[in-house]
Amino acid sequence: MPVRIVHTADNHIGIPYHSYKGDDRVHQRLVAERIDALQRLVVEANGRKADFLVVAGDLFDRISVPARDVDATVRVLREFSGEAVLVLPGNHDYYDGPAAKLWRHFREAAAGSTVRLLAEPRVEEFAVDGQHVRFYPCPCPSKHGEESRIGWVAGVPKPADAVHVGLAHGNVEGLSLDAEGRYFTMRQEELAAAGVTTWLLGHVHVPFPAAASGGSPAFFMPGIHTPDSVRCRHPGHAWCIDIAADGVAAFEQLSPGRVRFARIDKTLRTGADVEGLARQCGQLPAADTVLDLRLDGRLRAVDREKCETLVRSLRGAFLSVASEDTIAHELDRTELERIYPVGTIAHRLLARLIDDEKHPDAAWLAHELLEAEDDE
Amino acid sequence: MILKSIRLHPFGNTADRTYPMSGPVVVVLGPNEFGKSTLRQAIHHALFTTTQQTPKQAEKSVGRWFPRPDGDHAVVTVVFEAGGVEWTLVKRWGAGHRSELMGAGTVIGGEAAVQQRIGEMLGHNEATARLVLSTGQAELASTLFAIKNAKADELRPVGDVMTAAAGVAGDIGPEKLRARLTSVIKAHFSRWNRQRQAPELDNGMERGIRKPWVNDVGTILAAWYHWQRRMEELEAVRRAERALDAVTAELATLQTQMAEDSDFIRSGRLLRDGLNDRLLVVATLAPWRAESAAMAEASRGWPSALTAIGTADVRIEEIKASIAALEAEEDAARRRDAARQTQDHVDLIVAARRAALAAEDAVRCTARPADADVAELGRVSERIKDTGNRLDARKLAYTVVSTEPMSAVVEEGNEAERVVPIGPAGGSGNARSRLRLQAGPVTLTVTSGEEDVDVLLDTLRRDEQRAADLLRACDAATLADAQVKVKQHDALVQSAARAKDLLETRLQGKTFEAWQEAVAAIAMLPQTRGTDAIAAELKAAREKLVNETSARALHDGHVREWIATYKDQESLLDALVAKRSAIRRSEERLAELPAVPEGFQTPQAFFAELGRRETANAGRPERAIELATQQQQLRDDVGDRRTVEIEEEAGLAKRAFERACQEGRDYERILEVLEEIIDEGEADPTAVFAAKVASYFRAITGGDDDLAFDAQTPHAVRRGAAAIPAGFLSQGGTTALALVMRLALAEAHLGGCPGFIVLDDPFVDLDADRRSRAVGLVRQFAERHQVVFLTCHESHAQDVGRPGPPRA
Repeated sequence: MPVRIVHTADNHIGIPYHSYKGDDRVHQRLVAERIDALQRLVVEANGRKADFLVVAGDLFDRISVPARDVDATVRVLREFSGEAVLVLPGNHDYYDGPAAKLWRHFREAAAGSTVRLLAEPRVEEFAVDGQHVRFYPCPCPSKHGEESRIGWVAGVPKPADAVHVGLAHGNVEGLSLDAEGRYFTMRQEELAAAGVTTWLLGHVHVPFPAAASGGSPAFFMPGIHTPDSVRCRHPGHAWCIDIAADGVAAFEQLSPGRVRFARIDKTLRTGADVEGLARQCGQLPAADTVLDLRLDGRLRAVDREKCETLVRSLRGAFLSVASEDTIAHELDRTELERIYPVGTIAHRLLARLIDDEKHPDAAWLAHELLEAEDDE
Repeated sequence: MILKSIRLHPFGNTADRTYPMSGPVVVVLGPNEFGKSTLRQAIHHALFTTTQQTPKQAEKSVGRWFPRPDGDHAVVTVVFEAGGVEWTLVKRWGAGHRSELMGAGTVIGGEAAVQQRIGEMLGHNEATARLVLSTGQAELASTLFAIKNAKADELRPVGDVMTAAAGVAGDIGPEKLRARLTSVIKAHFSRWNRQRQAPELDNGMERGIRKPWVNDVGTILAAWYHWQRRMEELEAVRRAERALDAVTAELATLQTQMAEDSDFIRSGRLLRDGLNDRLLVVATLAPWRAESAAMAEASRGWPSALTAIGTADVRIEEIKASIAALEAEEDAARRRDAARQTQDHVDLIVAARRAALAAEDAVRCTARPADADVAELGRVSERIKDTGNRLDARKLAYTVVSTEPMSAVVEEGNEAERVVPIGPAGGSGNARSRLRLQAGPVTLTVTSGEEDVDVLLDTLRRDEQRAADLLRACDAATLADAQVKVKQHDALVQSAARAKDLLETRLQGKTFEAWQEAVAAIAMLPQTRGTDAIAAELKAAREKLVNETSARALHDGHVREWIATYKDQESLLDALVAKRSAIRRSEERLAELPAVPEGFQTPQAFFAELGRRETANAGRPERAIELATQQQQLRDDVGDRRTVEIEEEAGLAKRAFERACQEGRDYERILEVLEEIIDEGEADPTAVFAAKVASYFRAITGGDDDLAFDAQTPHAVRRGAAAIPAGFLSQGGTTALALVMRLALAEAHLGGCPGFIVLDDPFVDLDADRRSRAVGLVRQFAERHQVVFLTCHESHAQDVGRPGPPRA
């Protein structure tokens, strides 16, 4: 009978979210979401009667994460009802010796529970309903490292009747861009040559394999469990994997995240573009979405007003809206004729600037300048 | 003025109807006889036709709008907005006439006051409204004619209108604008060096974020500083992270090494004494083993060395005897080689001797003419030659003819007489100096010249006789022959002398007989092998002797050394047994001592490693504390700042900087254009107006036509090189031109003030494409002024009134 493992990684509990400190409500929601999503995952794992909950690195955002965050995290992990929670230090929460404050505190908090820190590269063996399961943890000793930590696994004898699960944290060649090779990069052939049934990895924030793919993947990457920034384009994932001695029997993607980050880069030229932006925003789950608008382009006054109205309405609906508004004002000929009498210096100046394609913003700037002069 | 509503109550056939007029485009759709023209007239009369009229005047001006058949008055109420205030104008013509204007809480009564206020709010006169701002369908086509023929006080020239507008509203002094722009540009670029794309230098010193400018920092530099500070922060965090990695790795390595070395040192110290003893025993054993081996070798070699010496002595004597025999043979062989050379020389002497004798014989057998004879013969021969030449100079050529054949005796010169037959054919000849011919009884003697020929002939005869005598004495035929004989004899004499010299040389001072005796002695020498074979054998024998002697010396040396060391063979054997016993005892001791740890060849190597590790470990705790302190410091430096967040902030700051740069450049461009405009001077308002009409016309026709103007009125359409007079345009072209003229004039007259225009079915003569474009133009106009659009065409109404772009 296969063992069932819920596999997560890159939870980054303790992200400070400095950019959002100006809004307590949003900041607290984002900070809490890191642990809330983990809580949802533990509940899901218990519901699925998982045997193991594996955290393949970067459970914490950094090694100096506050003790209260460690305590809260351990409290959540303690609720797992399976055989054990196995926590591997990643490159953000690396293990650099027994004196490491983070992990010393973690061990103390987890004492007497099934939550176990895998800080040494040595085999951890379990038996679940008669099935032997051997984990091969490869913890990170620092934030960066040029060589992978999995080299020792290949040399360990592996009984045929056991399930062998490698646990490691780092980049996988071909899976993400790490041109400098600073994140313990593992080659896929190196993973395959280690002789384990499969690898449960962490570090790359995008899931692998694709959710619908079948077979017995050589490794799994769960991706971040709930989005942490606009760089995360998926809703947050984890894996539920059934593994037998002869390979991966089944796997299913879980989505414990709730908060979304959405960045919309849009160039606005017309009122129709503004309406398109409104429709695009309307498709997002506003209450749970941190919206980052990067708007540029050029709008006439009437469309600009429409856009500002839209952004105001979005601020009321979304969890948070950040807007880098670099939309230029468009002064068109109609407006020019309306505002400035033909033949005036102002009219002549602006008429030429409107036609100047190399300086599309110059006409509006000149108009603002003229208005300011007029006010004086 | 913007219309809000108009009520006709009554006016014409309309008893009481209100037309709402809100919005920039007011579309009134209705079939013919609906009252559209009535509405247009109502608006016009309400704004311009006085109510203060006599019944006759009223009947003439507005009487046609009194309800038929018996109406005596007409009333229009217009609600409009002007200057941000909503006004209500009520005008009643005919019976009970009155004018009333209400707004802003006041009521203006009285015809003159009302009309004056309305005029102020409109900003134009009745003719302008009639000719420009309001048109029926029928009047539209004659717009150009009407404008051209308007009275001077009816419609102000458009140039004046535009100049006035330019002079009063919305303009700005160019100097003031230039100053403002200069200030704004300075505020942007202050302290920013565009060539370097960096802050200005301060006396050659950089003023980056480490030492930033404080005063007069422009917008661009401020944005740049902000961006650079984010970048520096990003780099600092990355640097700290890298340093933290390095320190963490070093600390981990250090701790691992400390642990490993401590174990090594602890166990190593326990081994140290045993290994020292081992070192001593090993140190003793090595020379003992060498000595034992040397003794064993001597013991084995001593007897055989002695035997070898004896054998070598015998061999050396044999080789020496062999060498002596070979040397004797070699001497004999050399002497035979020398005798062989003597024989060859004697052969040469014999040949030379033979040649010398032959030469002497040749001299003896050859006669040599006497030198005196040869000399006289030479002189006589010269004289003969000379005399002969002189005789030849007197040569006579003769011819003898006889009628009858006969013989004659002829003597030519000193030649002997000869008988010559002559006849009729005659005979001829030559004679030297004298000819004597005797024929029969006649003897003819002819002598040439005056000299005595006889003397010459005698001299010649004597000399020839003497020459013959001398040749005989020389035994020669000619003088040359005699001379050759002299030379040949002299050559033989010289040859005999050389042969004799050669013989003397080869004899080398000895007699020929002495040489013959030496040759006879050679035959007596013994026979031998060749010298080369003897020499090779001799060389091999000598080398053998050297080798044998060396081998003997070596054995002899060993024996002498052993005697010196061990005295004799028996003593040597005793010493060997004693040494082997000692070695065995030391090896037993060595087996009891601790072995050298794995990985080390010798105790010394182990002690060296132990010492190295003890030294290395002594300083490590201090270094570990140092690294741990650094690690904590770096962790504090990094804090909870995330590079991802800082990258985002840096990206924002960079974009803000780029915008500031672009804005600065835009302001510079504005100033540049302003300078161009200032240089160009004031614009010609009529030309500006003409350009606008032309652009509107092209907007409707969709072509690239241009317009030719007569003052402010277009009189022809220029299409390429052709010019089509306005009167020759199609109905659609005429309508389009009239419409754009009205729109352009309306914009000029209304200027920046809100106003309205009334258009009654202006598109009926336009095809679908032009209508669509005309709708666009009208809607564009409606963005600035109100358009009251009256039509009986539903599609026109929809096009003008509906939102979005006009239908194609």
